[in-house]
Amino acid sequence: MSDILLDVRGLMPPEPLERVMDALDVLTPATRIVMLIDREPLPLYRILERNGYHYRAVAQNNGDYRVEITLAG
Amino acid sequence: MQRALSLEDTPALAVPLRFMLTAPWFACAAGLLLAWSGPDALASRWTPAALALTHLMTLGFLAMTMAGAMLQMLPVVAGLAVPAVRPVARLCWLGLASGTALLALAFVSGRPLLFIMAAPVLALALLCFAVAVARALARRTAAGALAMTIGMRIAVASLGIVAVLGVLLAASFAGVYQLPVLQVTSLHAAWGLVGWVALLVIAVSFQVIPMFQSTPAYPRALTLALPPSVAVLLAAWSIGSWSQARWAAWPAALIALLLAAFAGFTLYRLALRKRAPDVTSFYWLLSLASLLGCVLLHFLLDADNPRRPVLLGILFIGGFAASAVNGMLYKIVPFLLWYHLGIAGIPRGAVPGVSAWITGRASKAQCCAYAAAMAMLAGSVCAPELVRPGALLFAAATAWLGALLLAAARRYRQALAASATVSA
Repeated sequence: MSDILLDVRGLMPPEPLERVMDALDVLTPATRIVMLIDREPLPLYRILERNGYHYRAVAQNNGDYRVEITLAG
Repeated sequence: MQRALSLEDTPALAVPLRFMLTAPWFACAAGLLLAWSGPDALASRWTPAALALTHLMTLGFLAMTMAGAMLQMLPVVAGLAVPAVRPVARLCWLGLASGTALLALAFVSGRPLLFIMAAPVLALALLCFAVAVARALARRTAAGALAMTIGMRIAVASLGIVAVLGVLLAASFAGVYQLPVLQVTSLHAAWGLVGWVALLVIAVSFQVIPMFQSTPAYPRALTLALPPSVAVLLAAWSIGSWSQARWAAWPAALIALLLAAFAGFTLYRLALRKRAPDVTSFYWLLSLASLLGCVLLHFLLDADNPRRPVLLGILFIGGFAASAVNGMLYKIVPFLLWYHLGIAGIPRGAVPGVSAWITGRASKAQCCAYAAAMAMLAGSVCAPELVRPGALLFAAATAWLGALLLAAARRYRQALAASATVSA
């Protein structure tokens, strides 16, 4: 599985959401989005859950979050 | 693969947008009314024109935008769905718009019948909104939004108090019965401006300033303690004020100091950040500096000085509250339009980025016009010849805001229509 790296640390909202929405458009079963963000993207989780995506979010030691997104199923 | 996203938490676009597109025109009407009335309108806080334009601003601009923003933010940010949000929004918007216009006409004309018509319309709109939002706020809040919802709960309770006192006052103005108007008006104004407006702006800023201005999160203790402390002090002040006790000055002074601490702390955080300021940052600076100015004048000006309430009103309503709201509208409206085009399934390549809906140059010029108008209006307390040009500039700046928001909404409709034509 190949990764689409999305480093949105330091970007002001809603630009991180804009970037991840663009990345979702090109996501395939063979790819995975790896997003690095400097705050927990709570609204994004609900978008992903309701639209058939699977995600795993891990808090980093420095307060950042690493969110991995794949197509569900 | 283009996917049409759905987000059940997000209310329909019309729910918040109708409030936000309408509100600037009430502020514009307040400016035009002041320009028409001239310096006599600001001779005291009790002139018919001063009362009318105060309510055009507090109900027509502030309550209108705050209601729309809360209906949008509660489900999206805090995970709290507002029951029957579409009919509540429709009823609240209709009641606020028509009730505010009727009330302003009632003050200007002094006709009892207009007060009798305005009071139930506004009461129905505000209480319908307060009850629906209170039901949402009674539920468990999403983690991370607690700081915002604590302040919102107090703000909505304050709105209920303001609405009840307002109806009592309107009935008194209509001659239905006699009230101690001065004391009830003081309570009505204090719960409206501090309990509802200031606490809501503060509660929302706990969420949006770190998010949109790239500052560190507010200290948790501050966010949890500040709104309840202000509410307790406001209740203590109300008891003292009602009984005309001299000690009422103490809770008032403590509230002023807490508001100054919030403003000073936020300005300090904004000054430390490395990011270049945008138009919303400028509006926050104007808002917080105005709040600090209010606190300074609260302590410096003699309580019997008739200019004191007028100057405090201009700085608090126009400088602090309306500036914060104006700045936030530049974030909220383009985001909603961009987001709802995405939900509609329009290819994102065909949707302008969020920053393209209202250009930075136009919004910054509008911000400069607004700040200049506020400076002239504040200065007009000492130089009455500034009232008319300041009021006209204020009307122009708020009309400009309204026009920018309407132009963005028109682009949204054009993009939807173009997409429908392509798919047909």
